[in-house]
Amino acid sequence: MITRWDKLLIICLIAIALICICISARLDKDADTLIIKIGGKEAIRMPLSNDREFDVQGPLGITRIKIKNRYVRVMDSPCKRKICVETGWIRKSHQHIICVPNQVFIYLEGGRDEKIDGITE
Amino acid sequence: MNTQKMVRLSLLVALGTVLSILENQLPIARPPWLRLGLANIMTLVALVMYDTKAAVTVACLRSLLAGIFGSLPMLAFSFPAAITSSLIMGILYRIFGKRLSIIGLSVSGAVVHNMTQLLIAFLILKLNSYSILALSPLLLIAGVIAGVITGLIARYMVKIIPDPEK
Repeated sequence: MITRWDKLLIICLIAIALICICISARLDKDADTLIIKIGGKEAIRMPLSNDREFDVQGPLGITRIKIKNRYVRVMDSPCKRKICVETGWIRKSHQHIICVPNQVFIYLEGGRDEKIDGITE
Repeated sequence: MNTQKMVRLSLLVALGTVLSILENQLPIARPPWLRLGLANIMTLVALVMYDTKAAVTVACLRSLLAGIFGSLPMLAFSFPAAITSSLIMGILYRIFGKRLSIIGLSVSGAVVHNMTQLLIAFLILKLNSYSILALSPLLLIAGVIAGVITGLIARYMVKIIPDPEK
């Protein structure tokens, strides 16, 4: 059956997971910049403030990306499994949409820290 | 290596390959990186029945074959993960022996597997370190759950397979 060491191992792993959740929850913030890499190279960098819809060209074809109310999503992609489309809307500064077949990597960066309005020196 | 061991290991490789391909085809809505890792059962059986070398061999061959017949790009993720997870399970088995049951081994293997894939994703896709922090608890807990389930199946399998001839 399950031994004492098994239980210890499982409890330790869950504890580490909880600590990670606590730390990441503290760093959570809304993004303000959209970065798109195609085939590993940075292709587009733009602010999230303007709503728009545009196309990027990957090795397989055209991936359609939409920005709305500071949210980003992939509308259409030439890849087979459509994982990037199913990812849906993203908004936070650590989130990303990755389409491996079409080599399109979408990242959100930067962000407004909701606790601090401004810093003066 | 006697004939029985050779046949048994090849059967484990074949079963593992089929399991990993079948698991990808299951019509369950889930992200592609979230899976039970049923093929790990075969690695566990090889480890407990024979030794670390057998387990690493089964894991590597199995992931190579699943890559060739399944999705080749995923091999970049699954192959290193198969090596590290089987090695770690082997090392833990050697250190702890019977103190860590097959379920503990399975959990550690699943977690190491997930973490290796996360590390590779970090290196290949150049994720920022924040995403690693945000994703790791999910992968840890998924690994623990998947590890317990596959461990239970592996324990049953080890029980019903007759001991190898020496």
